[in-house]
Amino acid sequence: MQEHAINPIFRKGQSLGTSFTFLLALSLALIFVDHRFDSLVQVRKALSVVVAPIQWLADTPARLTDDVSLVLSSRSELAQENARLKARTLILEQKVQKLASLNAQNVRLRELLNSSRLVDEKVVVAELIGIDPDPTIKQVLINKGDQDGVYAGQPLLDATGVMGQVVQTSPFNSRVILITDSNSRIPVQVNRNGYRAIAAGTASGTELELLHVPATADIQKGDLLVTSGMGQRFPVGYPVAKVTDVQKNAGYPFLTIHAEPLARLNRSRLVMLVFISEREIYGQATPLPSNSEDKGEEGKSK
Amino acid sequence: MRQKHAHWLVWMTMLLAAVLSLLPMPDLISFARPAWIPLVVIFWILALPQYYGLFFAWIAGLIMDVLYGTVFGQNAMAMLFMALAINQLHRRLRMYPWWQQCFMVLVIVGLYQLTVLWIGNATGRVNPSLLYLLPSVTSALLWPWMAALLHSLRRRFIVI
Repeated sequence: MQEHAINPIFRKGQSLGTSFTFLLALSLALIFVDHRFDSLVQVRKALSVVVAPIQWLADTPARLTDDVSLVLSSRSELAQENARLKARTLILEQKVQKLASLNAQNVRLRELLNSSRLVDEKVVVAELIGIDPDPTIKQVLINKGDQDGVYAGQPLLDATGVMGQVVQTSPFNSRVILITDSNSRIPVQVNRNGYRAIAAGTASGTELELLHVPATADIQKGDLLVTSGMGQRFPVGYPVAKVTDVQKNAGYPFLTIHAEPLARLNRSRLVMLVFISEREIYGQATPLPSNSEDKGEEGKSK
Repeated sequence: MRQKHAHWLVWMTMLLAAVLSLLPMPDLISFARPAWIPLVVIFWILALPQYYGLFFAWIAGLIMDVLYGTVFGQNAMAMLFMALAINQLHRRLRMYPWWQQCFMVLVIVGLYQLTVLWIGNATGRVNPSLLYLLPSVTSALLWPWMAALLHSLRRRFIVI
């Protein structure tokens, strides 16, 4: 440490206190402004672009292992996987065939009931490029941002269920809060009987809890919870979680209900961003469109 | 006599620390993840207090805020406290034997973690457990090795 002989040791000293006070005041002001107002969003976006390469670098090992395993996998393995995927596609296609007729039937029934039509949502595939280093905070980064039309509040799904919603966007990536984060709330309903509730993330970060469900409510172990569409943020009907246990507490007005998320929150690398059309959000109140227009839209939405 | 400053080494080590602090890890390990960026900042403030001080640490903290998506100023303020402590103590800290340095790193990184925890709680990012202080322990254990490595790098590239 002493290899440099003539360093001006006493150069600073009097300015330290001033610069500390100044920076401290600046930090406090930043905390206050960023917590209370949205005025720093653009600054954060600009800085996010600057730090994006660091996030990209941090994701490199995961990406490389994917690539390497792809290069190293043998031909027979690939053929096997191909066969498996083909079989799966067949099954899914068969389900879609049924879905088309069911969808048409649903539209007709809804017309009979004079209620508005449900629209299919557009889905864009994104890739997960980072997770929050703090294990108590369940947030992830995805590789789509403002440039791809991502907006704050947008729902995120994986192949098996709802994962969370976008909280911050920047030009090239965005930050998503998962449904198991202790700050997350998602409106759900029991698929069996339509009972509505709010599912909240827990401190453990691995399961959900239903808030303020009265002791008389009909919810059982094994019930499927789907999004209810209340709050107009998550589209209706996507699976969220499965109820794992229901406890009745004598003397307390509410049940303690835990549920396990269906989305593979720790394993999915490919995720889906849902773009909801304006009509779906405000559609409940608008009158039914005419028949011809209806068909045209239906074609587009598939 | 004075060499050209090879201060790119400082920025390279900072970049490496940032990447290490973001690498995805299993939950159990990431509870004990050392505070990489604060450690590297401590080293450089200790080694070159005439160049790197409060402002350096504060900017590093702001970048951490963007990297982790926390409220602007949260990590910056914590890093500021840490930098002030190091800056005031650096003449003594350099003289300490390694185990005493470890202890000081434990206290100072603990101070940093606590500040982050307090501001996090005040702004609604809930951090419910004292496990949050575990990184300061691992940082202290890591310190002698990291300091030795950075010293040798510093000597090799003559950063003065």
